[in-house]
Amino acid sequence: MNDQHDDRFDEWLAREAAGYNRPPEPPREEMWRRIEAARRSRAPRSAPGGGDVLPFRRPGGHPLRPAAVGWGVGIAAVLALGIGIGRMLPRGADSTRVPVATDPSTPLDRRGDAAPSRALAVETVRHLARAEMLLTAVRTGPRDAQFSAAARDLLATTRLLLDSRAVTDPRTRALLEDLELVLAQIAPADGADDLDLVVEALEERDMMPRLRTVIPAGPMAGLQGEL
Amino acid sequence: MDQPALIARVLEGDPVAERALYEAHVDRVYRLAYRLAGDPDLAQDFTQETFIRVFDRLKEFRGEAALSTWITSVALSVAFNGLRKAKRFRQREVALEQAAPVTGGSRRAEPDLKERLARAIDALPEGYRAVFLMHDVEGYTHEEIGAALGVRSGTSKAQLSRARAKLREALADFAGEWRA
Repeated sequence: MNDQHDDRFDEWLAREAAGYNRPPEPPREEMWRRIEAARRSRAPRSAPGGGDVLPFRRPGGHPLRPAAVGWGVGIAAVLALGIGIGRMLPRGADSTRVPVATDPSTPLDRRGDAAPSRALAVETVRHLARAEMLLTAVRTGPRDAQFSAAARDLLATTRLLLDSRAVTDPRTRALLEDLELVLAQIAPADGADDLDLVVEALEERDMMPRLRTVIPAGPMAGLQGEL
Repeated sequence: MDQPALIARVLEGDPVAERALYEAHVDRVYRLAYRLAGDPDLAQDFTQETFIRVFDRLKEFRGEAALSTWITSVALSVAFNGLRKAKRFRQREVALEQAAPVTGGSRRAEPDLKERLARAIDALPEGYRAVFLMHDVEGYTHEEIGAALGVRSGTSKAQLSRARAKLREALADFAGEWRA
């Protein structure tokens, strides 16, 4: 009798579920144009010796963990290069360049054409995208012991960015400073109550909208290099 | 053009072959992405990202499974990762709905059956939901699902069974609908 009911339920379920998220006609041409455009724009990133051109997250991997180490090492290397170059240059006087006026509202550090500055700007955005992912996970749960480890990694990078002269945009610096405070709260968090307080802090500081303002739009945006 | 020849031409950078590969698989990828995401923008994003990855990683395809299965596994990976990020919105909606007062089981106070079914499917764990949608809604075989998810077909069957059990439980007060 139960089997009969189960069969009826399965038949009913399959019939009714056909209307769940029923797909419309695929926008084939539009998607193809975007795929071509994305591939063209990503192609120059291909390194001559191989390696991933595209930013793949490991299949089935945890969104917060798999690339954390490599990403952290990468950004640390870029920061070290940027900071090192910055320290080697005499402050306030560059004998090889004619001074150029810069727009103080320019986001991040896009002033000048030095490759380390561009790399730092890119890495800063990627760092903020990674932070947004962590904070999203913290807000939505389930509570995960890995939050603390991820927060510590991000906290170290946030402090490196703040200590460097790479980020000159006041809005981004303020965001990094608030991020530092929030990450410092998450890093030692060991219980649901602690993380609830973090969530409150996120709301109070409008962290998520501010992060999303800085990170380019799109579901994979900002994480293209290590997903 | 047979599949190995098509793949070879794509790997050589032939744009006609790239388009042919896309045309052959885009509907299936988009349908799955849409079923999982329930949102046209997300479904487009997932589909695009899937093909970008497919073209970039095609050289890694060894032909051990059908190309369509390999593409499906890429699509699932993209969709799962994207949905985890978007999950916040879904959870907010569910939390609001659960906060609504429940009164005496009156059918008048209940949302309509389709809506309840949709919510019950939304609430399934990620793996169960994918297996249920792929098998019962999109018609994939357990062998295809197992290959795409990297599990045995028996695992796919077990997950489908658990998914149905959870849905039956969630919809128990509508039992008359299918027992009639």
